[in-house]
Amino acid sequence: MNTLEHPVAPDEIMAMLDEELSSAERQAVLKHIEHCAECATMRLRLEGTARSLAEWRVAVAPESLSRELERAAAARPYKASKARRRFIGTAWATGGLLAAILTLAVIGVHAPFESHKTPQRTLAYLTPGAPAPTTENLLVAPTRADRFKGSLDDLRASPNKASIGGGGGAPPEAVAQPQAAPMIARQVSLTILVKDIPQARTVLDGILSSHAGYAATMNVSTPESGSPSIVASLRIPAAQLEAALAHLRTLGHVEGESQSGEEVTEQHADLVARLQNARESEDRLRAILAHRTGKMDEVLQVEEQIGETRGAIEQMEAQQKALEHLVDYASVDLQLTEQYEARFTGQPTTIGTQLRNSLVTGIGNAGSSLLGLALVLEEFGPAILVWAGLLGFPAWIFWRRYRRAQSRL
Amino acid sequence: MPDGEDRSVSEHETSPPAEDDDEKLIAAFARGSTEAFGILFARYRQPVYGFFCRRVTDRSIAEELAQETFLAILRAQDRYEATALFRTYLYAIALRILRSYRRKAAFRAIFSGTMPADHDPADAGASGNELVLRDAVRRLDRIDREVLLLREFEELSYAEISTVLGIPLNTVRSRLFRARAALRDLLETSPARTRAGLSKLEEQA
Repeated sequence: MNTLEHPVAPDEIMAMLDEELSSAERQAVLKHIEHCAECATMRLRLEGTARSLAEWRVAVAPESLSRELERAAAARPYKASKARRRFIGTAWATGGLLAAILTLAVIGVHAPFESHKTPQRTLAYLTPGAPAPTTENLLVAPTRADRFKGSLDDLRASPNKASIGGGGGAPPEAVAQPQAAPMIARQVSLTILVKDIPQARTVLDGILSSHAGYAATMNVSTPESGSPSIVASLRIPAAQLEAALAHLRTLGHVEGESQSGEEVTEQHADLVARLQNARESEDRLRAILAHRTGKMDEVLQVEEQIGETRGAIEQMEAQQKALEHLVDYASVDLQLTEQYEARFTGQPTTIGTQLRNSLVTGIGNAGSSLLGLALVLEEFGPAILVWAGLLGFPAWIFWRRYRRAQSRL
Repeated sequence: MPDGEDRSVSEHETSPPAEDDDEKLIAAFARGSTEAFGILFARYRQPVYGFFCRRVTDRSIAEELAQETFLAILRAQDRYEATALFRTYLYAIALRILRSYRRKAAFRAIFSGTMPADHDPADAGASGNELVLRDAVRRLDRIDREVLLLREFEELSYAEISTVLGIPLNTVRSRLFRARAALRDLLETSPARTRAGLSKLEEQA
C-alpha cells in the first residue's frame, strides 16, 4: 500500500476498530477513511471478519465445574498448606535457634578446658610419668640435663653414694629413678625466605659464632634459573637455642617452622649404669690380677677379660658422650631460599627470527591439532555413526510424531 | 451429554454484575475472603470455560482444565501480587495450563500412536458456518491464532495479549492483522465453503 496515497496503515484501521488508538489517531484514521474507498473497504472487511468470528459460540459451563470448585474451596487446602508452611517455618527457626544456642554453650564450656588440656596432650610424650611440663619447661630442659650430668659426675666420683655403687648389678630403673629432670634431644626445622643469600650467609655465620654453635653440614645451591638456596644442619647449644632461633628468624620471612624433642633420659641412665658396672668389673679383674695365685693360662685369661672390658667401657663412654652432645646441642635443620626475581636476559635472536620461529611453531601446532582431530574421528567416528544410526532414527520418528501431535492440538 | 450442551451463550453476557472490580476482589481474596473468590469465579467461570472450549477438542478436558485454572488461583492465594490486571493474570495461568496439557498430550501421542481428534463429537450441534469458521481458525499459524482468539473472545487489549504471550506489543498488532487477513482469505477461499467441503466437516463432526 502506497504511503503517499494512504497515510494510514491497514493495521491502524484494525487498531481503530479495536479501540487501541488515541482519540487524535482515531480522528485521523476516520478522516482518511471518509475519503479513501480502499481503506473503507478494508474497514468493512475487518468488521466482516469480526462478525464471522462472533458466530463461534460455546456451550454454557457445566454445573459440575462449580460443584468441584466449591468443594475445593470449602476444603481450603490452600489455608491448610499455608498454616503448615507457617508451622514448618516456625519449627525450623526454633530448631535453628536451639542448635545455635547449644553450639555456643558447648564451645563456651569446652574452650577454657581445652586451653588447659592442649599443652599436656602435645608434650606428654616427651616426659612420660613426669609432671606435665609446659613449653617453658621444655625449653629449659637442657639446663636440667646439665644438672643431671653434674649429678652423674658426682656419682662417678663416689660410686658408693648411690645405689648403683653396691651389688654391682643394680637395674637401670634404680639408677634413673632419682633423676627427675628429663634429658631431651631437641630438633628444629626452619624454612626461611631471604632477600639475599650471600648476605644471609654472613649473618648466619655471625649467629653461629655468637651462640657458640656450628654448622654440621651446609650446602649452597645457585642454579641458573631459579632461586639460590642454603640447606644447613646446625648445632646450637641447647641453652641458647631460643635466642639463636630468634636471631635466625630475623633473616627473612619464616615460611615454615617445626620443633620436636626426643627424651633420652632412660637410654642415658641405662648407659651410665652399664658403664659403672663395667668399670667395677674392670677394677675387680685388676684386683684379681694384682693378687694372682693361679696358673699362667688363668692370668692370661684375666688379662684378656680386662682388655675386653676396657674396650666395652670405651665404647660406652663414646656413646654417652654422643648422647650428651645430642642433648647439649640442639639440631637445627635450616633452609634458606632467596626470593625469586626474574632476571632480564638479553635476547640473542632478532625480531624477524622470533616471528618466523613463532610462525613455524604455529603451523606445527595447527597441523598437530588437525591431526589430533583426525585421529579422534578415526578412533571414535565409526562408533558415533553406529550409535547415531541406532538412536537417531527412533529419535527422529518420536520427534516427528510429537510435532505432529502438537500441531493438531 | 454435558450440562448445557444444548445452550450456546456468549460468555461475557453471563458475567454477573459486581460492584467491585476484579483487582479489589482478588486483593480481598488474597486476604482470605472466600466470598471474593466466589464472585470472581462466577464472573469468569464461563469465559475460562469458553477459553478452553475453543482450544481443545474435548469438552470434558476443557472443563477439567478450567477447573485446574481456578484451583491454581486458589492455591496461589497468598502469592498473588497486583502487578497486572486480574484478567491478565487469569488468562496467563489458563494459557500455561493449556500449554502443559498440549505438551503432555503430544508426548502421550508418541507412545500411544493415537493422534488427538480433530473434532469434538459435541460439535455435532454446530452450524455449518460455525464448522467452517472453526476449521479456518485451526488452519492459522499457532501464535497468530492465539493472538486472534485472545483478542476476539477473551477481549484482551493489545498490551494484555503482549503480557500474556510474552511478545512485543508491535508484534501483537502485526500478528493480529495477519491473522485476521488470513482468516478472511480462508473463509473466502476455503474449499469447506463448497458443499462437499461442508459435508465433509459435518461428517467429521
